[in-house]
Amino acid sequence: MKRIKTIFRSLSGWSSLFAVRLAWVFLFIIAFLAIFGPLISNEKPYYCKLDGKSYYPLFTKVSESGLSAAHPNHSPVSWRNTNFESVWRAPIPFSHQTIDLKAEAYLSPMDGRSGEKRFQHWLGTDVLGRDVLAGMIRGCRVSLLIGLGSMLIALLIGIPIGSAAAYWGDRNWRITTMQLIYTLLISILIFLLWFTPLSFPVKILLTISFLLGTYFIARKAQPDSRVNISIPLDQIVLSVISIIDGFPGIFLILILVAIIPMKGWVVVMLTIALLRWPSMARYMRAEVFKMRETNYIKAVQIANIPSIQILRKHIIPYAFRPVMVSFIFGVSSAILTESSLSFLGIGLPTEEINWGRLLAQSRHNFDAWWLVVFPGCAIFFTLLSLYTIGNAWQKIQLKIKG
Amino acid sequence: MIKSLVKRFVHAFLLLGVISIIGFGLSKLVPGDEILDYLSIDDPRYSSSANALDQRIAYTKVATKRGLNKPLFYFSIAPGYYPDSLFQIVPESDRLAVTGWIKQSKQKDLSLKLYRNFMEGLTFACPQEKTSQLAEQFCQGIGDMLDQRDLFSVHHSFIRLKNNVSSDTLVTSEYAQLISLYKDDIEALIKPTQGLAARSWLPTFYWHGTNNQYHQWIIGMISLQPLTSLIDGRNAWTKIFEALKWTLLLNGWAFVLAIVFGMGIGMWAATRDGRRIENLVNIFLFALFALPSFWLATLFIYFLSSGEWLTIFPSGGLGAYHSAGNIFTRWGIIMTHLILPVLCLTLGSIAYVSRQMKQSVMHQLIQPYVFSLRTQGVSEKTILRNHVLKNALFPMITLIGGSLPALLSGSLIIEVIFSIPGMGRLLYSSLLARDWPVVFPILMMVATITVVAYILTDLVYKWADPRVKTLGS
Repeated sequence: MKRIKTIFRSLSGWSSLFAVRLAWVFLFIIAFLAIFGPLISNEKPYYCKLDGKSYYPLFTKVSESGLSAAHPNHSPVSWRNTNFESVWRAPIPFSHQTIDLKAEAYLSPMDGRSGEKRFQHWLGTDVLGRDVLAGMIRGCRVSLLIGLGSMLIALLIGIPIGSAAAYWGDRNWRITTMQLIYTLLISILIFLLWFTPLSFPVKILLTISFLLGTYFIARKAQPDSRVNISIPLDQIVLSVISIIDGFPGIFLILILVAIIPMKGWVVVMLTIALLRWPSMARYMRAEVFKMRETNYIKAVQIANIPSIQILRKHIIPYAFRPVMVSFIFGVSSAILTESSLSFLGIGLPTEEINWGRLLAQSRHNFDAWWLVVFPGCAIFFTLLSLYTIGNAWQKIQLKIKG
Repeated sequence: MIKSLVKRFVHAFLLLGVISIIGFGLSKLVPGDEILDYLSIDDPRYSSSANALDQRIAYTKVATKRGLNKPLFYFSIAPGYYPDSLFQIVPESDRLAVTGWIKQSKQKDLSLKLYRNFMEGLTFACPQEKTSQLAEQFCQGIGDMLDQRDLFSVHHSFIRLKNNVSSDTLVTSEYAQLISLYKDDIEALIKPTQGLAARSWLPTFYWHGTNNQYHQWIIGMISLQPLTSLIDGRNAWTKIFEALKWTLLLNGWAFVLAIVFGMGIGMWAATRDGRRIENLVNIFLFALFALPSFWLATLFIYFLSSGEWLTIFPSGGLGAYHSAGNIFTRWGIIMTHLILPVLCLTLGSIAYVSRQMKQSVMHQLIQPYVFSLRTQGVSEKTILRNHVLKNALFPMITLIGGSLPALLSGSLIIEVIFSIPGMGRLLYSSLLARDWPVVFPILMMVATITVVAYILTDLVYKWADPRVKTLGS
């Protein structure tokens, strides 16, 4: 820890301690807004009092129509216009979907026409009269969720596959002929199983039990050195990676978004993860390759420790540190991809609002500079913070090594 | 060497085959009926209000022309109770309906017979000459039944039709005969069947031969037959090469500029590492690296070409270069329109390339051979130009090789913002319109370039640095 601190002191520019701290502060603010966004910008008040009765609309399921029914003399109740006896509103009294009917579309931040100071649109409004600041707070959530989520999935797929490919290579994963026959038989059995008239859960259960059975048979089987068959794991993994790389990204994205029957942001997350895991696997593969040749791994291998355990305890934790750099860069590029897709109008449902969507609206109205500047700045500074952290991490790794 | 190269190319060929199969499969998984989108364009007489028979005739004509009534692949595997000729039933909705009936009743012959009887009914009742209300009702009723995938809904529709028909006073014997035919079939299908023989559960393997959709398009593409775009009926290859021209121009410029400036700045920065001016440039480049290109493009358009602040550059498109007579003015117009997009693409990559180059040069500068050259009194300039540069270029090979596919597939977002008719936009709009004859060639071109670029990178590496292990080993 002390060594890292001294290294940090020696760094300057973007990797100086100050820059990295600033980047972390910015990211924490974004994360805070992402988590507590609905509490910060919401049209529903935290607390309101009507006819002597207290309500907590933001925390309970009290709707405008529900209140109207309960208090006919105030009907119709609207969060903004009703004269509550006492009301405590969120700092930004608009949610990202609220269409402010009093303000107009494309209201400039400088414009004082929006009425009361409390309902000022600090960053203006968009094409439908929605608050830009509320939209940007919503954007934090979408961007961080998709950026982090997709890269975590990519990491979960990429790390085992990449390290296995490098560790076993093309020749070192040997199975006996008997094991190969077992595996083939079991897969044929599973294949046939799915044509039988059993119900879906039963099929799943049987499949899992077959697979587990194979695993135990494979573990118990004594390796026979004479009839070994090596599986070209490395080549298989590399082929799969180049198949995914061979597709134009937009082809996979557009088709998967149309095919996968799930919520918009989940689909975008899965798709970005699918496009990103090959690069994580490749980095991991390169690191494990280097590490496999070191003496301490050879020593562990001589000690006859199972390969899985070597990978899990001695290789992956150490190979992961340099890969962390590409993880951080990957998060930023996932955020960039997500906002580009939203900019083009792909993936997320149309009522969803985020940085890319806000930026895209500026293309229809060149007067609206606030729609160009603010969402763009949000994307830019998020990416810059991530790059700063990744860059500093990389430099520290290099200094620790040499 | 030759042997391993041949092995690599065979491997690449196999990869391309797998990519084409996956791409084809994905395109078939996209929900929705791709013919219905184009039916009104392909057949001007078609309208969605036409009767069930006319719709099917129009549909069948288009489907046959495009070969969509052929099997998907060389073989198929289906449960034993499936017939082998389901693919011949063309309107996709009908095929799904018949599949649903078979799945529910497990009786393929009876289901197919019912479908044939329905079609017979359609040809009997629907033609325009029959203007009676009964015929119209009958035609519509059969159309309704053909839309149902669930046999009980079919039965429900059938009862309604039967009641309608029997309440009519002008029933002829043909109608009554058809009705009784349907009644027998549907009731036989609905009746719960006794346990099927185990053999009919086992998957059956059907071999379809080369007369299938996949074979058709892959052969059509390899033989460079004129493929017709579904959107506008133009030759797909012409469309692709037109777009490719612009993309290569745009991305080629950006690529060359990024490599030249990036390497120059990288070298310059590596020799001045740690000085104040280098720090300043470094800080600037780092910020540039994080700049999203589409934001930069929007900013450029907003500040430099929209008339809000300055109007120096044209805001998009390629200008009226067609009408310019002189070749110089023509290229002048094109180039002024390309300045901003090229700049957007270049700035970010300059930062990246210079970063890589700086690291690479600095890595070389601490090698012993540089030290030895210095002790011999060779000037820094000579060391850098004659010795370091050559070695520092190795990582650039990977970088250039890796960006070759992007050079071809275009940069969608910049092309959209500046409305340049390049490959990215062509692929995007063709995908949205499901214009497969344009999408597939682009897909295969990009895939080929990607796979070949891998091999080329390895080859160049091997040529540049003979110490690199032989290919394939």
